[in-house]
Amino acid sequence: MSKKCDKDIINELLDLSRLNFTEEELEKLCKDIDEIRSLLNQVSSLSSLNVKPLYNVWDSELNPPYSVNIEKVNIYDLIPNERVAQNKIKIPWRGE
Amino acid sequence: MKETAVSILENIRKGSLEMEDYVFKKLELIRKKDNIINAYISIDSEDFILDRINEIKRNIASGKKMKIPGLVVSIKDNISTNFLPTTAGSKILENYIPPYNATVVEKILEEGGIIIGKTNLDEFAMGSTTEFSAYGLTRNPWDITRVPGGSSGGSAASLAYGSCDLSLGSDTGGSVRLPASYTATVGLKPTYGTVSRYGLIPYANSLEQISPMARSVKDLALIWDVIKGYDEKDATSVNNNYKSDNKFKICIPKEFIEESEPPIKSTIYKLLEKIENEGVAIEYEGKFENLKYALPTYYTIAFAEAASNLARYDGKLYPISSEGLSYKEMSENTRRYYFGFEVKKRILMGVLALSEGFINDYYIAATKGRRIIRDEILNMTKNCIVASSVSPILPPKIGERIKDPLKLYAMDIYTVVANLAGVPALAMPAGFYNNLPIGIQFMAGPFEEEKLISLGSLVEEITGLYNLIAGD
Amino acid sequence: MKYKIGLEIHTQLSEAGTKLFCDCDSNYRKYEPNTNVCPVCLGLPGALPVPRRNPLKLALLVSKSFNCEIPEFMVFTRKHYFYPDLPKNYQITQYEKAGGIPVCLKGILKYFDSDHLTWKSVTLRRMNIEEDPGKTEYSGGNILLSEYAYLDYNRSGVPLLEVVTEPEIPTPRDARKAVEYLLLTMEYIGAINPRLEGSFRVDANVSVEGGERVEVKNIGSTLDLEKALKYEIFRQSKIVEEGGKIKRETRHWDSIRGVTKPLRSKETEEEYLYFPDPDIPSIKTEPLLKEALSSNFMTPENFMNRITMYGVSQRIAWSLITVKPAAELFLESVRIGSDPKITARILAIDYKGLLKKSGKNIYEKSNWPNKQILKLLSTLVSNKLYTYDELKYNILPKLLENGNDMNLVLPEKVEPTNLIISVINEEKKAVEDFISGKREALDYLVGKVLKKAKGKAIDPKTIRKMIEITLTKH
Repeated sequence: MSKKCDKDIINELLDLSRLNFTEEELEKLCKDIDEIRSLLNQVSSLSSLNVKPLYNVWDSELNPPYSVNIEKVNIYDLIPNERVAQNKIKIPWRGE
Repeated sequence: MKETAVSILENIRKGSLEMEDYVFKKLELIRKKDNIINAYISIDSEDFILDRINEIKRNIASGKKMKIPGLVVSIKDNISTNFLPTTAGSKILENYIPPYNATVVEKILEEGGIIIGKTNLDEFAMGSTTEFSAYGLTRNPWDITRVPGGSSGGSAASLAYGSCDLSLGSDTGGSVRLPASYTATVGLKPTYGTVSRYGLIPYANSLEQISPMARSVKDLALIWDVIKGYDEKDATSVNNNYKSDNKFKICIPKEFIEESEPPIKSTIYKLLEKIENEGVAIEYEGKFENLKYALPTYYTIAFAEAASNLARYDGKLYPISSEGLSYKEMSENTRRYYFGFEVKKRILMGVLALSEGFINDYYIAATKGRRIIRDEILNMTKNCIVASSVSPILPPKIGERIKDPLKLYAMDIYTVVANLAGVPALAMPAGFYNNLPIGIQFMAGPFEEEKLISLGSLVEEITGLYNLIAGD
Repeated sequence: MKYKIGLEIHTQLSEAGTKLFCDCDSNYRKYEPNTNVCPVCLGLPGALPVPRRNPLKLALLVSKSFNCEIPEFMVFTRKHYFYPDLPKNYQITQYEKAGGIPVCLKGILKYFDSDHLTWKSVTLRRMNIEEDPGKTEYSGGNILLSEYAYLDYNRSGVPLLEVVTEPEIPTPRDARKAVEYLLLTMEYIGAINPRLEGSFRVDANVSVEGGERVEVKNIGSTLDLEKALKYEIFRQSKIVEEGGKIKRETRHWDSIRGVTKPLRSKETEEEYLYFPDPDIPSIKTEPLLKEALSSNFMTPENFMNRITMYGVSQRIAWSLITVKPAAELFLESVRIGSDPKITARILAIDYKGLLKKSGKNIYEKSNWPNKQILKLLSTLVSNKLYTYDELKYNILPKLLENGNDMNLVLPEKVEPTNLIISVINEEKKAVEDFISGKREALDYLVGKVLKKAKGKAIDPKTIRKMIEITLTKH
């Protein structure tokens, strides 16, 4: 990809991350992203490396427990009451 | 004699120090100084503190053994508390009071600590200067025109001006060590898995640990002893009984110091000479081949995990929620208006790193890079403690670093390595230059925290730089 | 026209006890909205998923039952999409690309075709464990137009086992039978109660020759599955026959109108940003599977083999197997000496019929008689103390009424000869009618005799025969 800020990619990323910026911010964003990508591109050469990816630093294994004793949550403690209707959380919808 | 957490604890136990007097003096100091420093996002009410003191006194009276009764602790605002809001420095979590306590918070309460307030941080711990907080930047108590480092800058500053005895931060890529070195305090990034992350609002789960801070290594040992240990609520928690020996040798890969600013370099080399004079063997021939991959590897992984972790903030489950005709609109608006620019940028980069067309070249490549870096560090720390700079630069002026992302990220070059490798690392004062603190970092093998604490105690005896309070 | 069917079956491990990553209840149906929730299944910041043992063990047992290749480790991944019912806006699943490893890589779903009494099989591509989202309700019930949505997270985090078949199922009927067998097996393992509302959902993909793959989402019953597939094959075939093209799309099954409706066209694969969940280390499967296998469990196929070994026909055996307590009771009572064929007939046909007629739950073990009684009853018949019909008409209804109390149940045996003679003497008109050739009169006479017996054990067929013989002698 070119070093220039690619609007198509940015738009796709914005869509996937449900984010938006003002025009002003977008300009700065483009510049920053190009710069950051120049940093990240330095790992790309490792993609062909024949080593196993490391996802968990100790390559550890979990022995799953039956239960762990997690306390319950009262939904009214969490969300402003005007957004709860008969214990259900109310959000705008209209099909999307 | 200087007041240390250790000596205060003694006085409280003897009964020669009234807890109320002591804590209220701290509250007064906060009232006086925090409007300038801005170390705290929220503070307990006096009533709450009085109740807490009475509870601790009852426990003492009933003979309960506690490790830190009456000590004043500040806690980074990305660690969940059910009695104070937990914002992670973000507008998007404004007024969010978690319905549960982080495991470390439970432990501190159990051991008699008084949690006085929640400290400032870069939004979601994404930053190295504590300038990216939605609740205003934090100033460095040693020079209020400078940053305290980040992202646990609030915790560091709260210690540096004496408002508490102990503090908890979190360290994803240097977030307690950088602030420690900029504020003449001490920060320990523990071995990955030794402190429960349950209740820590995640930035990059595979890299970060809740990390203790204090004004001396000996004080730090107190809170380390409280928070460490296996927790079944965290699947990455490690059940480990490893006891490290206290024999140590130091080695120095040149790459870890040479690129630092001259005053930092000379301060560290001078200190190392003194340590050597105390009979500690030092090897100057070390090499770290893969240092060049450290920053891109670290940031790629951190961005990817962050993008995922921050997907949940869409306005449906938290107090902050934008208007919108549909869920899509509501979530878009909430994220658009309540995330800061830096956070949004990192989310975007993370989505890029994980997306179909780029995952191999970014995220997967970085996880491979992480393995070679980890292996090299494990090898290096097998026989010695690695000494290095904490930061390549002195505490920057406010605004100096945050305009250019690469300059900002470069501040973390020496600290991200410990997170990538999972090993423990201690940052502590090495000296001062023009009244600005300079830190040194010691990095050991996995589970060798005790070894770091012994070495650190020796070093602070040598330097005499401990329990320093700015402006004293 | 040739076509291919593949299925993705989402089954809830409703009997696991806990949710997949927290201690909340896997059977969420009995709770007020949002009261079966904790920081973990609400995805609150800082709460961490710790896989629970039971759901994993059950998933491994299901995998084992279908001869799966079970990998050495399982690895959970995150799948990202924004949706109100998803608290974290990602779902924890086991996608095999991007580092994930599912619980089963390849298996065989061998199922019983009860129409043709044969075993058939379909290849399983994989099975993966994942978390169920919460529930969304729409005001006015309309998903598209509703102004608000109402969220209930009681279901959030309930363990799901997603079972994916290769697209090789021959007919809609087979699709139905395969899913029914899968569910039955999972019920036998103790993983699911398939009769709970919403305990499974099926997405089916269909492609007719020359067309692209169409996915039909959200089918909630096996009957609907068969109907939806028939409809979809008909719809697609018609388009192709008329020279049209089938484009790749996702459709929705409208069970009320009995049609599929377009949902969205799928041009490209969606972007889910999969990667391994950094909060969950990999999980070794072997110790869990060993532990799970140590509890006694049998698949429906094991039952089929055992039951038919006793000389019971496949059809009756299958009828037993579809009702787990009946199949278990059969084996238990045969083990203590019940007559297999008589017991099978009682359980699979007559007692089951009585239970159903009385509105009692046939899947509830306590509604069935105990094994000792079954042994006694089957012995009475095999020793010819009663005929099977006496048992069926006189004893079983009483058993249903009185439960396991034997004294109330067993009727006194009567000698029918005297009863028959007195009826013949009293019912002169009917006797004449019969002799003059009216067969219905015989039914009337049998009825009269039964009435005189007042509920004592008596076999209507024998009575009939006896009256016939007596009257012909006249």
